[in-house]
Amino acid sequence: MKQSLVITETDSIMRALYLELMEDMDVDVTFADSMADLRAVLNERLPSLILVTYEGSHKLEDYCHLIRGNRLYKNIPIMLVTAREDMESRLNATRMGVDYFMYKPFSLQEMEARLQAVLEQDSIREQESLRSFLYQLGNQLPFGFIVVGENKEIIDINNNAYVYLNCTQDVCYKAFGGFVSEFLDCADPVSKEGDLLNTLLNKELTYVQKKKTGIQGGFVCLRRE
Amino acid sequence: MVSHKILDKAVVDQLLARKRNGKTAFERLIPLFELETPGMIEEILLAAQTKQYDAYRALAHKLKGSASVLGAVELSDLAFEIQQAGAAHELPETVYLTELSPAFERFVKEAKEQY
Repeated sequence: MKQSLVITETDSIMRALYLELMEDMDVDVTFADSMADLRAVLNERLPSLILVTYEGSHKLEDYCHLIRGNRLYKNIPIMLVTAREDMESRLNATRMGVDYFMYKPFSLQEMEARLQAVLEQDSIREQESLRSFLYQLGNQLPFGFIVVGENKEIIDINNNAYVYLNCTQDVCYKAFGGFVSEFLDCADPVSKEGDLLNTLLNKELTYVQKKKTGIQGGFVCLRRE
Repeated sequence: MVSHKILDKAVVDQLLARKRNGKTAFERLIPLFELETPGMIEEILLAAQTKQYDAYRALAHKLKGSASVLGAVELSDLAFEIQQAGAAHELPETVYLTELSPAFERFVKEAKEQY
């Protein structure tokens, strides 16, 4: 799934320039004109990066407050594009929650390289965060499960899955290469454990999948005989 | 201080190097700049006439930004001077205001010679 980027830029020439820059990058770009706009965009989909153009410290503070003050948005990196390089401005912006700075006038290559690096880091962080989430969750469940990605790859597998299948990790991964494609839609268990899985699918995990990671996949539940 | 250089070749070269569908990024951006800027200059002049300091500071800031990314160095410098005056709640020197439109036209003319 494509990564996405939100830019709080109102000037049409700057917007056109950003679109030129993103043309060769596999990334969706959305522009937000105002706080209300940004809120609406974030409600739709969590971006990999929010690029805030400096429009006065009050506005920057408002944007940062909205992002950092929300449980769902608070980990989204913020990059500030500004002409202010002085120490005090940098310090204030950092305190407000800005992670990265880009100083104007910037060269296109520099901006491109910076964006690529940030998006790459975000992608790694997303995967790690999903893994850690699933690991914590998975090992508390009384059944085995496997999370399958849209290309039928195994995204995660909990310890119980190994136990129930009575095999090593290597064998399990190999076995699931074929297993998963057969049972991609079989996350419809009827046992007690299944009810729990369904609850997770409908609530937290589906939420995490769609909103946070964008990963669309299936679950395979391994139940006791 | 306002530069006598109309166009920053290094900036323009970066935009000229980005080609898509037979056109460079510079060629695609200049028409938009040509369309948007005269209105913005008019707004700056009006705000200065009516001493709306914050308004022409903000407008000049915007013009400075878009001019600088396209390499319109003289225009960007003029906008910077106007922005500074607005921030100090002062009127900019008249020459900065009267030179905005001619500087814009000089840039567009020179820009079009690049492609």
